[in-house]
Amino acid sequence: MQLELPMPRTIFSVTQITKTLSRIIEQQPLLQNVWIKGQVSNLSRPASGHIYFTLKDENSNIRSVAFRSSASRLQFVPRDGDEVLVQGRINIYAASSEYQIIVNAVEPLGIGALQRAFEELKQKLADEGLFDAAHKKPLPMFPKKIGVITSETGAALQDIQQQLQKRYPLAELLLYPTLVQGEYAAAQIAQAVGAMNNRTDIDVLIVGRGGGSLEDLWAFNEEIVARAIFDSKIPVVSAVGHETDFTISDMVADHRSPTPSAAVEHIVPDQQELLAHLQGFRERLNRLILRRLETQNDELDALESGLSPSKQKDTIYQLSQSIDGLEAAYKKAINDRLKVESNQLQSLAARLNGLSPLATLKRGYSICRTSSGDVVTASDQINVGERLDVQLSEGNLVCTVDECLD
Amino acid sequence: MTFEEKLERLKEIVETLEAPDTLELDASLTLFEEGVSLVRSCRELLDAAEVRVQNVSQEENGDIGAESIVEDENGV
Repeated sequence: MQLELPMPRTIFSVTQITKTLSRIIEQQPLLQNVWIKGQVSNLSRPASGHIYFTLKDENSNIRSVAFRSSASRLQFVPRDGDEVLVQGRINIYAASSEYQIIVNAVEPLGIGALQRAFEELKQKLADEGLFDAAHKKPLPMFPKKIGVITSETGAALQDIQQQLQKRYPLAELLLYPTLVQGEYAAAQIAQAVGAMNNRTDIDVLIVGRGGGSLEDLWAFNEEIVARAIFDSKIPVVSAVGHETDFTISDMVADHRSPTPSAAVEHIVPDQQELLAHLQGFRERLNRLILRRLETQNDELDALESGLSPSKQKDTIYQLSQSIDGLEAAYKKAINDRLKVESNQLQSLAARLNGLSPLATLKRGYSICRTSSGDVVTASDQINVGERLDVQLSEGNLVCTVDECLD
Repeated sequence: MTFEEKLERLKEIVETLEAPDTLELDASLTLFEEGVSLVRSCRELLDAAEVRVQNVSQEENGDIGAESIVEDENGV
């Protein structure tokens, strides 16, 4: 017979077993950062500021709590019935020995929840002024390098490249490849916008992807992307392939294009238009230089006609004519002068004639001179008995003075 | 000169030539020739251009340059 020894018993208090389980859970890294998908129910938000709810699926449910500090930072506050993705850590609530998730973040999942999250974020960012027209930056006219933030394998990149080749192949593309959907997309896109802004060679950014469902496009509705776009120093064109609905990225971007190729169309000039423009310049240049040459020709013609032989002959005739005229005038002037002078001469001669002593002698006067030849004009110039020589108009007399009377 | 700078210069030349009679004929002809050659070189730039696509990660690694992508597409 075998003796059955009693197993040694380890006895726990309730608290001890709860602590042990807690420790085991806390040592599981997987459980310390976990994402859980489920539907929200029994949500309550007491005065403490914590948010309590139950996350459930068809078979199970888990108690969830967002403590006040996390609750105030939630970008999306769920409501009952919302499909959500909850991130946090698992622990044990000792009072009821229930395990629970301590919620750090909540993301909306279903269309309803996404719609509401969208409206809430849109309202919040609008209130902050992120969509204001005053913040919209102008796009460059001729971008040399276009930064593209999209999937490396998606249709968006192909569309952008083809459209650029068609319209303005002078621009370069710099791709920053990112995921464009799924949980890491938003963070990658935001990081890429920041990285592009650390460069100095990017003239404009295209941020986008091809079309998809609201869930597919969700990254472009996330706050982190919106803020990165808002903070970008480089102008951003959003190009989320969705004709009708606007994403938050569309609203915060400097320009919104419905598709990636439309973004290219908006950003760059059309080379057909540029070629037409160049042709216009070419024609204007031709017209201008022709006009300039014509003006110059006219000037030359005017100068040349001034130098022609017939014109020269004319000039000579005119000159000789005027010389003739001058000669005649000169001659006439000399004749006139001569005439005046000869008249003067005659009158002078007449006057001179009148003054001549010979004329006086002719009128009967005579001139007395002493023997020494002095003209006698007074009786005391001569003595009685002296001789006088008397000149008459014709001939001379020699006389003797008989008496001198005073 | 970039394409944009060429266009800018072209505009400037046309405007200078349009200003009435401020230029000697020689200067006009020189400007005209410069303008014509700018038009030609702008056209050539557009005709010859191939969109270059660089990838940030390739650029950082430096092993695959943009030129090789363009060459691949041309089948060179």
